[in-house]
Amino acid sequence: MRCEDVIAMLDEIREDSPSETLRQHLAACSTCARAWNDWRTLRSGFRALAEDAPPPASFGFASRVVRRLDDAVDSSRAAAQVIERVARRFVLATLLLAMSLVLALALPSSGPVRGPGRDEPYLTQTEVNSRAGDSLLGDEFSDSTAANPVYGGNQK
Amino acid sequence: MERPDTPDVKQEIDWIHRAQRGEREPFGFLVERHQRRVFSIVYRLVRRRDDVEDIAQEIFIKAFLAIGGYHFESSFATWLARVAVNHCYDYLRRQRSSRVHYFSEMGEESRRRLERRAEQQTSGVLNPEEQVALRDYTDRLLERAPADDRVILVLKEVEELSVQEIAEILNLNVSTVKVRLHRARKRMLLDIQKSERGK
Repeated sequence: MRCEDVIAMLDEIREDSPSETLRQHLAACSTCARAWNDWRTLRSGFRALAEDAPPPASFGFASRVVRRLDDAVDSSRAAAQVIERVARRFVLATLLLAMSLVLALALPSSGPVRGPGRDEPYLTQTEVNSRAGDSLLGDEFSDSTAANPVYGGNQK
Repeated sequence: MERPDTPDVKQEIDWIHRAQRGEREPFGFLVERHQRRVFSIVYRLVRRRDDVEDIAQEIFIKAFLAIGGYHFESSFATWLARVAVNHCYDYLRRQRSSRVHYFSEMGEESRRRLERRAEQQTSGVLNPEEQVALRDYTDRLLERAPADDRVILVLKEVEELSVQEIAEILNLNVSTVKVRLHRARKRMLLDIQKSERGK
């Protein structure tokens, strides 16, 4: 018999005298003998507690409980109303927030609310580069034609 | 309060239905019928004679407010015991922080004396004073135990309920109750031994 088996056996043991196998183990193992004695003490203590009768209900206990029910129901109802009010406000606030979010996403990026937008808001890198090139060339060309007297006034 | 002459299960079902509709009087009959058991559970778990009635009142009020959720899946007594145990469990957890640890106050000699008395009790020679001493000793050990252990040990060892009944009250599997009981006993034995080593 192992020590763990002794502890496991305590759950099942109802009688006060150990079996022969257990007795042999207890004689050889002081730890288990200690546990056995402690368990016997506890069981006797539990029995003593069971014999200690609970106090009886005082006269009219049930009537007093019934009288207190009205107050309890009222306060429970009041608490439920508070919770309901808070929950309702929370739901309303959540709805408002959700609606604002939907509006923010649904509104077009340009218009009377958002102001004038670009014609083509999304350009590829190639388009950006080509436009930049055009603009630089155009500016240079137009500036030179306007400012250079050789290409400007002399040709006319 | 009008009291029926032969209250039986059928009568109790009728009281429950009426209480579920909000009627106070039939709930009063239920209180009268079950108050003894509720007082017993409260006293065994809380062990404060002066507080038992107040706690029992709170339990019955809680039961009235929750009776709409009772669907006759278990007996009303079991359902009510569940409400009582849960309420006591919360009470014990609230009280735990302010509880005094008595074990350290108990010397080795007095403990040995109690053990001898416990041995004597099995042969039926324990006198009332010794009985009280042994009861207090166990009471203090239980008071030191975690609320979970205390509840399950009291239901099994003091209220002497079956594992099946405890499982219904605590809403657990039978196997879980067995495991918890085993652990609670083991922890309590270890606690006694630790306390001895600490001296």
